[in-house]
Amino acid sequence: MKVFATCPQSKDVERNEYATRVAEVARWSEAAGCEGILVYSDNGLVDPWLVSQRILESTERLAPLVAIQPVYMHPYTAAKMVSSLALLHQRRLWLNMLAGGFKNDLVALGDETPHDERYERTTEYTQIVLGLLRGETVSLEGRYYRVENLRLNPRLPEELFPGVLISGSSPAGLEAAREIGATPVKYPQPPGEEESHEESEFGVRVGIIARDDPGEAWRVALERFPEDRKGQVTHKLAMNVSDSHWHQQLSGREAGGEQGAERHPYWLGPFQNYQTFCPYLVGSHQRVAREIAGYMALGSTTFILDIPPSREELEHIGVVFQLARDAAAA
Amino acid sequence: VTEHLEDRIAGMIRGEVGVEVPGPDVDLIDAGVLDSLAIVSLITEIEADLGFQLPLDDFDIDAFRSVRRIAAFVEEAGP
Repeated sequence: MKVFATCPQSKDVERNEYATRVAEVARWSEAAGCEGILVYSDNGLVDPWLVSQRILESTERLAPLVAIQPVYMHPYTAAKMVSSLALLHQRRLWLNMLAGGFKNDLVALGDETPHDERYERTTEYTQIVLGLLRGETVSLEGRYYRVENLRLNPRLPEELFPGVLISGSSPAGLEAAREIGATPVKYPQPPGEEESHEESEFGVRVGIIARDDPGEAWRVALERFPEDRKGQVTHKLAMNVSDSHWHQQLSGREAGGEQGAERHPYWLGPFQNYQTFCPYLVGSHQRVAREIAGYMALGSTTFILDIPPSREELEHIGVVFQLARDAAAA
Repeated sequence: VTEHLEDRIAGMIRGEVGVEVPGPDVDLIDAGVLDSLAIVSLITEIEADLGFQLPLDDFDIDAFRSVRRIAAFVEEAGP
């Protein structure tokens, strides 16, 4: 099982603090046992290769998972980035192949390729990148790219050949994943409603907020992502009232209001209200670990987390994955 | 204006908890008319009605004890 954190985005951090923040989050992620860290790519953000360079410099073994959207660079250049970073840092990368992106970003770049064709393009693109990285002489007369007797230098040592993920769970996305040998990554349904993927492995994109006590986990979750104005007001009052009965009443409401019953961990609140890119699992370490083990039982080999707000949060997530691994091994 | 605001707030409390407010100075918390969850609902209703958010970072429960105090708090906070 591979777990990836996600790197903070330059648009969310003060300019003069961003480089420090990237290094810090990368080190937390490494210490928490993550395989790597996803680096986003869109028109509004710092270049993902340069952020990846920063991550490599700041850690010992963490692998940047670089989001690659074909419109930004020729596949030859992407392959060259991978082999150059490998030469400079003796580190393996992961590639997160994109077909989509923000529509306005793509239109601004003059790209109006329809959804399914974008997957065809990403397939062609990835075939060229991986062929070059395998040391092949690549000739391809494709629909989107044409290369002839193309070779890559510096050569990539075999042991540093990148892992490849692809975003999207549409039929076109799954077909592309099959063709390029990538692990498809999706936004999961709750494990009970997720279809089985026995034929192939997959990855899920999911945020996690876990504590020993589920009430505490929900308190943290709702403080970070208040659900609506009523939730915000409840939280502010709970923080400010001194009367213990009132405090209990308000905190109980904050924690989902189901007195006595533990609220189900699967939560779309941040996704619906805060433009995070994934559902969340919130609750006790044990309960969230059970959900993670549920995804593993369905064939999920890869977990991509949301951007961690603190080292502490990653430590709690580390506990969850250890419990999930133990449960899977039992 | 203040009296009008007091009437509106008394009306919201009536709608929220189904109890007629006995008078603008009655302590509604001691009287058991308002509990914490009723106050949360009342705050969101006042905000929706008046179109602005009340400042709650230093929330003091005493500002919500009576209709007169609530009206004064809301007026103070108003744009």
